Amino acid sequence: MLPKTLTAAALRPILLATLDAGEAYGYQLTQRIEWISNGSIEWNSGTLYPVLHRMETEGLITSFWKPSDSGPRRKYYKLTTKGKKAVEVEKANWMSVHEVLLRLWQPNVSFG
Amino acid sequence: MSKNQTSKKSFDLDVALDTWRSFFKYRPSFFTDDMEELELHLREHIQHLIQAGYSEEEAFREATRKLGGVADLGEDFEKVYWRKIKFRGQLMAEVLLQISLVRNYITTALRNLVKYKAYSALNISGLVVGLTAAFLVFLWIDGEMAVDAFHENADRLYQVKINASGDEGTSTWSNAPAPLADALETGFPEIEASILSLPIRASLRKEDRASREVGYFASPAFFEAYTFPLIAGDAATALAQPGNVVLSERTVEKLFGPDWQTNDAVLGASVSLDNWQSNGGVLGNAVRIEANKELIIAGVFANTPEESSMQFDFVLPVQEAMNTFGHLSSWGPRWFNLMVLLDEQADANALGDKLQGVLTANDPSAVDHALILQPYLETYLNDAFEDGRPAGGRVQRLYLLGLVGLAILLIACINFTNLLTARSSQRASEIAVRKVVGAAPSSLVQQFLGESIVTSVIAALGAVVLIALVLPVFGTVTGMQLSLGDVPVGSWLVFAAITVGTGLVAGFYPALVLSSTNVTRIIRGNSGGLQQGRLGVRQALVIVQFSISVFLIVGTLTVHDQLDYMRAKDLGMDAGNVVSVRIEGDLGEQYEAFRTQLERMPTVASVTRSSEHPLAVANMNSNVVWEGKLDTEQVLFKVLHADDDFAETMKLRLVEGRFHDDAIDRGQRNYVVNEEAVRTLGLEQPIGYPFALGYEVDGPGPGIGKIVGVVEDFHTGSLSEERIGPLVMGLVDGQENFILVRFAPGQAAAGMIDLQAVYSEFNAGYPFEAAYLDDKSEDFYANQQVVEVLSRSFALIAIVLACLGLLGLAAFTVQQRTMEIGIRKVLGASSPHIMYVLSKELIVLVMASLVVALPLAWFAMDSWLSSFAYRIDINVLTMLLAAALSIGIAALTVGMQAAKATGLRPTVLLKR
Repeated sequence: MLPKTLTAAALRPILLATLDAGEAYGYQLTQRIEWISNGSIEWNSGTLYPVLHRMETEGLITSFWKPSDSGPRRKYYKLTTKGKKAVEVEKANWMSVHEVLLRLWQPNVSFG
Repeated sequence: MSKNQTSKKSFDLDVALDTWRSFFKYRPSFFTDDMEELELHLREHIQHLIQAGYSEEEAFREATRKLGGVADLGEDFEKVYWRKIKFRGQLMAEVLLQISLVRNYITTALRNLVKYKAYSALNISGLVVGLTAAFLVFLWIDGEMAVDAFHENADRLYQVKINASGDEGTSTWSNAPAPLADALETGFPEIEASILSLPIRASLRKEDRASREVGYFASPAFFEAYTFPLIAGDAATALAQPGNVVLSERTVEKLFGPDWQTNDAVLGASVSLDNWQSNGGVLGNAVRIEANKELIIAGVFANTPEESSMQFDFVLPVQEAMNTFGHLSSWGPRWFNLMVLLDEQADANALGDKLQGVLTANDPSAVDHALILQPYLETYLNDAFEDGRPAGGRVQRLYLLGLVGLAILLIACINFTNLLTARSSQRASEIAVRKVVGAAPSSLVQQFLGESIVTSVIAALGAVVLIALVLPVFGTVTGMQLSLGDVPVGSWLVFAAITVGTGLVAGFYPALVLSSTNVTRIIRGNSGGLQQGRLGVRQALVIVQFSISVFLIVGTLTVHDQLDYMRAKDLGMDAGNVVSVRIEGDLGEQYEAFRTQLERMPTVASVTRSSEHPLAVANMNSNVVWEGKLDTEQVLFKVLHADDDFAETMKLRLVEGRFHDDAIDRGQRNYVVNEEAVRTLGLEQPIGYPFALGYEVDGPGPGIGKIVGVVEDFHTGSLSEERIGPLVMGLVDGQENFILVRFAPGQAAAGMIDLQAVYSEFNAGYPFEAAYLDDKSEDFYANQQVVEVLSRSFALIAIVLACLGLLGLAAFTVQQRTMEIGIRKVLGASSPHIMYVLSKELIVLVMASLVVALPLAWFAMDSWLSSFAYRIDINVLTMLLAAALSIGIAALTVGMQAAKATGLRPTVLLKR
């Protein structure tokens, strides 16, 4: 289980990336993320919704209620154009952090 | 399987979900939308888990765990939502919730106040007085800080002062030579203007109306640099022309009538100026010119506002002073106040550095005389200098009174704190119930602070009424005229802040104590735990209160003793029953006839003339010669010229030789000196010793003169400011300024009427003004009298407040120990013994405060007294009196409560 702060920080790019694959509702998102992470990322799923709301206020995603065939209506989320750009930015940011860490963790890292 | 069966029976998912939902119901951070979404999430997850083989109950537990608890979720949602809450009107809900909380505080506070009426009265009346004192002090300090701030250029005006360094350190002079103004203005581009001013007194006359006023000679830029707006005339040119005068509105009204504005003949009209007098320069060179000088009115200025440190009614061009006293335009005499107006970009510090040597460069005799700049706004409050740097002055009184105001407020707060904590046991069950139903300590703290703020707000309302009542009295004492309606909004905000602050300070400790009480102990009936262990703090607070009171009592007694001492000290002459009249108009010429007529009156004992006010001799002269004087020797003499009957009128006491006799001494250089002069010059045989005022020696006549008499030292100045120095007396010869009239014993009132009648006969057209010489000493000690009145009132308030607090504590002790008293009585204890037992603890506290306060008070008062030229020593008796007073009052307070209890029959006590 990841520390809470790291989960909180990672949740945003993860949600952006997940939604980039297509619109989804809340529970669906948790399912997708759990599946893709193979259970290595676990968090209080309730935390998801405040983050989604914030992203919505920032204009990265929009939400809409949609009736479902099987049961009650569901609230779906989907990326906006701004959100699509944000996916790229997040990707670049996290990749650069990732690369730095990879280099640092080489067995005999040298700085010269 | 059987386990599953049983749980299935007892577990109902819908009920469980309802319960889960209800937890979120009272969290304002969730909206219905959110709740729906969360519940859907939860249901779907549960469904999935059941499909995966979980029981309903297991699935519910797992899904809710996964979703997160109420507290965590609420917090996360709140963070995101605050903005939305505003928009969705939820803010209103939030506000309503807070209002209902505040309403609850108010209700509880009021209920408690009503329930314990006596305590509430003590608390509130204490706070009323404390808040009143604090606010009055604030108003006074605020008024003092606002002095001179109304000048638009206030932050660009600087006073030029001179730091003169010598063997005895650096002294700072506020007066400068006239040519320095031009030198500064032309030599330094950052100086926009330089303004000389020199105070004068004169009578202004317009035909048969005259008015005696104080005014200034001032540079042409005066009305542009300062903000004294002209109602008529041109500020830029009004003072440019010698022969002009600018008058205050009030003076114009006196001379030209109330309708002067409709009759535009005022500008350009002429008034005459008579009997100028100027006390310029540090050495008090008094100059008087007997002349009717015609002046053209070139402007009228609005009356000087109250918050101006300069109060004057006319201004003359400074050139007029130069024309009249030719030597003033040289670098020698330093008579003028010199102010510079800097341009907006100027850096005063940098300029100050550049200015330092200017005086020495222009006046070679002014070695080690450096110029310094003091911001104009600081000159009023920081008027004392030490070693060339500002060293307080008036501002110290501000600090002092500010501290006293705070001290009073502190005493009131302590009363509140002590009474509330002492009473806490009575509220123990209320607290316990609140705690049991789930009040967190923080919300209890909030509640108690809320209550104490409510109490102090109630007190504040009372304080406003009290302030309105005492403001006029306060104004008379401090010389600050203010009515409740004049108090600006900003000051009321400060008052509100003081009120809330007081509530917080007073309620802080009780809130902590009350909120941290142990519920189980209370419920078991052991509420005593509330006070035990807290007594230390309460005792300390009582000691603080009484220390402040004792300190103020000692202060009051000492100030009073010192003032008494100065008022009653033998002045070396008898100034009682003597009035002074200024010589002006025809009085000078017709003095002999005036005197003859007066002395015929049975109400008048004697009449004489002098150059100076006998109680305020300002003429200092170092130009004195005597046989054997060394070139390097300089002795500063006070010089007093008087008629030969001066000694008789003032009842001076002769030590040896004789007083002047007009028949022998007229035209002779014969002098009477005081004992201090004899001591200073070291004369063994003073009578006949060759002596003279230096400037007379070079004049016509018989060269050096001699001492013919020695008079006992008499005071010619404020006892608080100057010690008696050498003094020389000669016969008046044109320097007479005052006529002194001694009334026959017991005839003062009738004498005054006779004097006025004779005066009007000789000097019609001049307002009759006769002042008792004694009034001068009232002037001298006016400041100290303010301190006396204020310290007396504040000491009284402090002791009353401290006693109110003690009364409350005593009443509380008695109430707590009724049972004990009853048992003691049954067992045969005498009433005095019970009173002793009850009072002991509190009286010990008061004694402890004596130990704290007396040394502090002694030290503080000794340092206050050290600023007086003539001072008392602190009396051990004063200390004892203060000690006895505080113990006595405290014992009386506590004893009354104890007596009330011991007077009751044991059965009554035990039944309670």
